[in-house]
Amino acid sequence: MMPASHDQSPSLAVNGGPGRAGAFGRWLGMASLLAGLVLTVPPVTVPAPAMAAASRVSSQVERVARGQYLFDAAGCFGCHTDEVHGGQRLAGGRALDTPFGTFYPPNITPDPIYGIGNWSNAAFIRALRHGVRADGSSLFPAFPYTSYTLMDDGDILDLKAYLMTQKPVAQPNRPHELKDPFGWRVLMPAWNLMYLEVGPLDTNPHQSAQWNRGQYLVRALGHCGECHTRRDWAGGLDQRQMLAGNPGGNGGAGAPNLTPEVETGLGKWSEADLLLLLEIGLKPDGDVVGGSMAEVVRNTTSMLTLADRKAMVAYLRSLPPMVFPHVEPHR
Amino acid sequence: MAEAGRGGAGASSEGRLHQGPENHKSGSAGSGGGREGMGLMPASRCPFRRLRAARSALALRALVSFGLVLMLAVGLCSEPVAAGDDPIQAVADRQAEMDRMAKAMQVIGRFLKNEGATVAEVGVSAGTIRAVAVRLVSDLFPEGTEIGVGGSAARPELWRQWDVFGQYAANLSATAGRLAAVAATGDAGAMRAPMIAVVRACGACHELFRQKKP
Ligand code: HEC
Ligand code: HEC
Ligand code: HEC
Repeated sequence: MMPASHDQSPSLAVNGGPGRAGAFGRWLGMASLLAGLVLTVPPVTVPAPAMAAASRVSSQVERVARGQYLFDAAGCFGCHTDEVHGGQRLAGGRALDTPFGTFYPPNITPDPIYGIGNWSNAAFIRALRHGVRADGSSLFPAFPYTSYTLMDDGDILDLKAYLMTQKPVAQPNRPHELKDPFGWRVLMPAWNLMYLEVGPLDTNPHQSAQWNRGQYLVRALGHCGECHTRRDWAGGLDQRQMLAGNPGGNGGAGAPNLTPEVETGLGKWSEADLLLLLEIGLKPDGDVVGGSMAEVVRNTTSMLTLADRKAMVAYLRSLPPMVFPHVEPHR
Repeated sequence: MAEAGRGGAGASSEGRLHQGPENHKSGSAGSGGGREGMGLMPASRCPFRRLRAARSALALRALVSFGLVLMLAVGLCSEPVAAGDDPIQAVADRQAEMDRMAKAMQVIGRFLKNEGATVAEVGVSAGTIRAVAVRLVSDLFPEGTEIGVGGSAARPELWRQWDVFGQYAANLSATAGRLAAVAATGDAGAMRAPMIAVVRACGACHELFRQKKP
């Protein structure tokens, strides 16, 4: 069970080995859900060899740089910053309107009181891996931990290192406005039992390193499936139709099918077509991509290296072709 | 969940969602081309008309140097064309013009993908886009052609924020102009950045004012 990105992510040295952490994490997740207890994940131990101060500094710099790249690849900025109203970076997000009500993503700056400045590494990993907050209560999947759970520990900690370099902002969180029963956090452990497949993502040994990297970028970081997959009544992703499109998404306009199916999917798109879309948002028909995808391109896919965009495309083109799911008529 | 609804938002919140500073950045990049914004004003109503007509180099230079005056001018002068007799036809006409720009963009896409488009073809496309861009404010979006009229996907905010719309149109015309200028030099290597700028100029306006279609 190696994290898919291990070749790109020298952060492996940071934790005791992803395999162990993953299995242990899985067990932990189950246990904490079932018992409803606040379990403490053992703090990830950073080996402390006698490093020269200089190399320590430079490794910290590298780690923050890796974290920044992951931050872009995972698209944390857009939800947690209220750009439209001139909100401060990461100090709390713009309103996310959903069928379940309106979510206001919280402050994730390093502010110790209003942000996540006091969160331990273990708590941060737990939030992304299991959707559990520092105080042990459950997070809602409006925060796409259902995808971030697939990240490996090293990457999660690099991401945290980067977040901790951001400007702290003392801004309280705005409470969500949700419809019952969707606003009941106590129900989330049950939801997680039904829908959460705890990561990290396994490497597929039958596929190339590029394919595995692509899978990691699409499924874990890019959380493409969160929009491009159909959901059921409780907001759970239909795993059998992963990435085959979501007729209910995008304000009813639908989020398209990303599998290489010829009629309803990307079967007619060439590799170059897909690369250009992910880089600048231009579609083969000469139109520019719109909806929430415009923002994904701006904040996420355009920020990646060409090698990473190629990996994503290779992965998407290898998916089993599936037909865009039809919409159930409203009754 | 939210992702489902990030789109699930409906027009209002989508509108909010997309008015990021990023957009305004590209919008105000266009007001560097505020001069072009001026050129787009419906001449009949613009109090600066005589000034323009005078074509005094001095007056122009003065105008250009006072960004504030320019912004004011754009604000004052750009009013939508009044509704015509056949709004449904007006919608169809402007969609055909948008499609013409999309065809031109396909050429640019082929160039970027190394699929055989030439520098000269890109230059022609840039010219087409620029010609349409100029008409976005002058006649393609008359009042009374918002969503609900024919197959219109134009959000009503477009008319409420007419000067913002004008800035995006000016930005498109400026970026297409730059692309045409680079293409005229024949320097294939220098075309990438201006082409990307044109794509962004299309997308920035769509994010605010074009409704997604089911
Ligand atoms: C689709 C929007 C979205 C994206 C993308 C997103 N978040 Fe969030 N995030 C949320 C929402 C909504 C919540 C609040 C959930 C709740 O209240 O249960 C949240 C909660 C959190 C929390 C818990 C904070 C607290 O005080 O409880 C952390 C930490 C966090 N997000 C970090 C991140 C990081 C890191 C990324 C990028 C890897 C990210 N988020 C991407 C929407 C998002
Ligand atoms: C926030 C929701 C969201 C996320 C996350 C998202 N997409 Fe999209 N995507 C959309 C929507 C909505 C569209 C349709 C855009 C339009 O109407 O022009 C789209 C369109 C596309 C298209 C064009 C397909 C077509 O048929 O026109 C591709 C390719 C694509 N997305 C790939 C991705 C990839 C790869 C990722 C992960 C990095 C991703 N998307 C993440 C919402 C999303
Ligand atoms: C200043 C704003 C603005 C700019 C700039 C802009 N558009 Fe549009 N575009 C719109 C609006 C608004 C609509 C919806 C019009 C309607 O449905 O009546 C639209 C619709 C479209 C359509 C759909 C037409 C149809 O048949 O329904 C295409 C294609 C399109 N635009 C392409 C482009 C391209 C390519 C560019 C850049 C070269 C561009 N647009 C620049 C505002 C803009």
